[in-house]
Amino acid sequence: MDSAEHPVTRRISGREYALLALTVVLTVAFLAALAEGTARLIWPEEQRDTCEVWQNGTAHMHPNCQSIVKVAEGSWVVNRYNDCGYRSAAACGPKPPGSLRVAVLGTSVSRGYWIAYEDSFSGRLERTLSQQCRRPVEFQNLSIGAARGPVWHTAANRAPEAFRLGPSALVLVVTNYDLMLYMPPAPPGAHSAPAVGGFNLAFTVGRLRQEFLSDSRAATMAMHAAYTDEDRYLTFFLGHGDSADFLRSPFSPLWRYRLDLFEQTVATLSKLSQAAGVPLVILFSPGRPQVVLAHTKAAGHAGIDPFLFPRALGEIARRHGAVFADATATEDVAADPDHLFYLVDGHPTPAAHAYIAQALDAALVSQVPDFKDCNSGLADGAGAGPAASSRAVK
Amino acid sequence: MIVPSWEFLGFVLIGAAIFNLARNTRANQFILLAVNILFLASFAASPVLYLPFAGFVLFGFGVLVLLQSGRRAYLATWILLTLLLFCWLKKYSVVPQAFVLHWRYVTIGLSYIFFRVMSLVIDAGQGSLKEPVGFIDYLNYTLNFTCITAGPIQRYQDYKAPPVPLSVFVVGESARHIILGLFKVQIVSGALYLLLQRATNPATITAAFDNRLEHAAAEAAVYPVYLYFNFSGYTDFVIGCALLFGLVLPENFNRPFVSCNFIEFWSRWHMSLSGWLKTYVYNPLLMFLMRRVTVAALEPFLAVFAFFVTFFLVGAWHGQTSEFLFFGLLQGGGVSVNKLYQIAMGMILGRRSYKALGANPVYAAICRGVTFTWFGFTLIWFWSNWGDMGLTANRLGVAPIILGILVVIGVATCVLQGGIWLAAAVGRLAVRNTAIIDSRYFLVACATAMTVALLAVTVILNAPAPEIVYKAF
Repeated sequence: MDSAEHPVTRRISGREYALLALTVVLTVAFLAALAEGTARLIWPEEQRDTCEVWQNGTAHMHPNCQSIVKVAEGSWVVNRYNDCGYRSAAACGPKPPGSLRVAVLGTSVSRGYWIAYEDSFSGRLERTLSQQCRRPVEFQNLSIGAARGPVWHTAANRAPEAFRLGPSALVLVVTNYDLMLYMPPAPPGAHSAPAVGGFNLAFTVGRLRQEFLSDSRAATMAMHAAYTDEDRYLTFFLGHGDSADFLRSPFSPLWRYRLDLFEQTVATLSKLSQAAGVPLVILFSPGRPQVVLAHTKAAGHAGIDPFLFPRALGEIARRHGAVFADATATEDVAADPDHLFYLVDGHPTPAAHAYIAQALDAALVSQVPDFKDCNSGLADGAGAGPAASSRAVK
Repeated sequence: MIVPSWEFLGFVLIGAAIFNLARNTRANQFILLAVNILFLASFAASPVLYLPFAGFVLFGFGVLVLLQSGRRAYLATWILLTLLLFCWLKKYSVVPQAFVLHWRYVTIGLSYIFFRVMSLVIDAGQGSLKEPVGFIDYLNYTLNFTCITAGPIQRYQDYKAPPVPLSVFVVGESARHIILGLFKVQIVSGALYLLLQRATNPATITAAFDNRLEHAAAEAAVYPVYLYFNFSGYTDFVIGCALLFGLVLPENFNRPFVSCNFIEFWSRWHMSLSGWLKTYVYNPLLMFLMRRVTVAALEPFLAVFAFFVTFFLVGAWHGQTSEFLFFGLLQGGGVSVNKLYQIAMGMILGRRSYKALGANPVYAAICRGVTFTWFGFTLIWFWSNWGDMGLTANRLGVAPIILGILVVIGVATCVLQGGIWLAAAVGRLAVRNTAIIDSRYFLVACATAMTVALLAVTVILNAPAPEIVYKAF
């Protein structure tokens, strides 16, 4: 092709111009279809959990149900739910004599989205705490997955159900994404959606863009490739205003509002816990931006503090007598921050769950009376490194 | 400013828009000069850093004025002085350290300016320039921003060909070259660069025989392909950019890997360099030798010697170290042994039988594989150094190296022949007597696909394109 000459006719008609434009459009369309088809072949996805049912605005799982799910960036995973519809290996009946039980509340991270139960922090801690405590330790994971509204109200609503299981501790897993769902009520007359019968171009384009990005597997692959660059990912994330404001000091009014609502939920749960005589543990699971900022890219981002948000959560936990565990501070995370999260989906991978398990293990063993006699530190298979150095505050 | 890059392309488009808005030839010359100087100014902030560079350019013009005024008596002296000045500024190892300027100054494109200045000096000295070269023309020719970085090398007579008027076809042709060039550099050579880094890392050589064999083969096979896409991509890009200013730059590559021998290879690879050396070194040298040596039996061997000298210079020009001198020896040696082989085969088989042998597809395919492998092997002295070569050779061992070379010959023979068959088959596909690959619609579809790939890679991966290898010379 270097020296090949091609015949050039000295006139192009209007019809030819139109055909050339059509050629460009068709080529782009063909490439887009090819990219989408290839991406779907390489990265199949099944996000719908067939065991999930919705009642009165709350998600439940069919008891003794099994489903197969897969996020595009991950592997196929079999979800098994026990006789109460909890994602747990053990049955939810009366606690076997001599055993310890932990009840877990939370959302998708807590439930171990997109990873096998054995790889989730619950599954890992069942194994390791059983060794450390020299008696069976089981986790009853009451976490709901799909968040359609302020999840902490739902979590609080499930607390009585959790206490009926007779747990040694109630663990509430929280992420910054959970709190993002708290939005102040819209002022009267304000509409985020177009009026009926009207047409809002910006809204429609924005929604189409969002739907394209979430539905297109090629876009997922492209974003995955783009997000492998930590600097670019951080620039992108930090440019997102509200969703990144939990990293900025001082907190924005919206994040203060969210923390206030969260505190109300913790206060309610704490009162219930104290009444039931069950210690409450708040476990913070960080997202990729925090991990990257905390361990590899701390310098060069003025006004950004990756520990600001967990510090605020820790303060709330302390004010209400709850134990606080922060997986951000698990130093081993620094070893491989790029493989801890599904880059586009954002959920933690099995490797990250190992660090979350480390943080919770340290908190349980050091702060929860029933676990006082257990050896600290994780055995092989739970964590990915030396003993956890999480901050446990009471 | 990096060439090629999106930034450079933006610069070209703005420059070309202004250039084409001016309808006056004189104004066009000044606009082109301004664009050339602006481009050069992007390499250093202080004018002091340009002083040696400017000195060389002005010295060239001074010599040119002298020669054009009829004072041609000392042509050889002026040629030698130009050469010495170039070697001094490029800090070649032959220049004593005491004479070298020990401060950093701009040398971007100095080699390519040297070729242009030298050809002007020789042509003026021999009276082969049809008309006097004016100062603005001289500057625009020697400092031509589209090809100052890494060529292609163009003679003044070709540069002064009537400019191509801008039309939709010229813009289309320009876009085709630019997109193809960017695609070759950013996507293909970018991917090959990653492969190259893995393939040539001595740390990844293990004791396993298959690993060592794989490394030995990759050492010879990957770099020539990478270099081809890197350099020919750059050339395509700048040819497209120059077209927007009405300038037609020469092609540098003509499917070099289809060559069946090393002499043919050099007539298809970096053609502007080999063509320049053929005009200004090989032909004069051969003429000189033929005038001096009158023994008819020795005549064919004079060409062998002239080939050796010419292609030794081709290799040695690339750098200032002993590795490049050896690279030159391998180029000169390869071409002259190739010529000797042709002479010997002609004598043994007779011209007709040797020609018939050359036309044999199996023989031609094997020759192609050997040519590719030899070039890849010699290139090791181009991109590596004695220390790394010694380390790699020690780790690989003799047997994997020999077997690796044989593997490359075998694979190259098959792959190149397969490529030729495939290209021929695709070339035969036609609609209404027009080959599909020549069809305007096919070209537009290819350019669109390459643009989409380029944008995707640029936007998504944010990866910088690999450097143009020849920028360093």
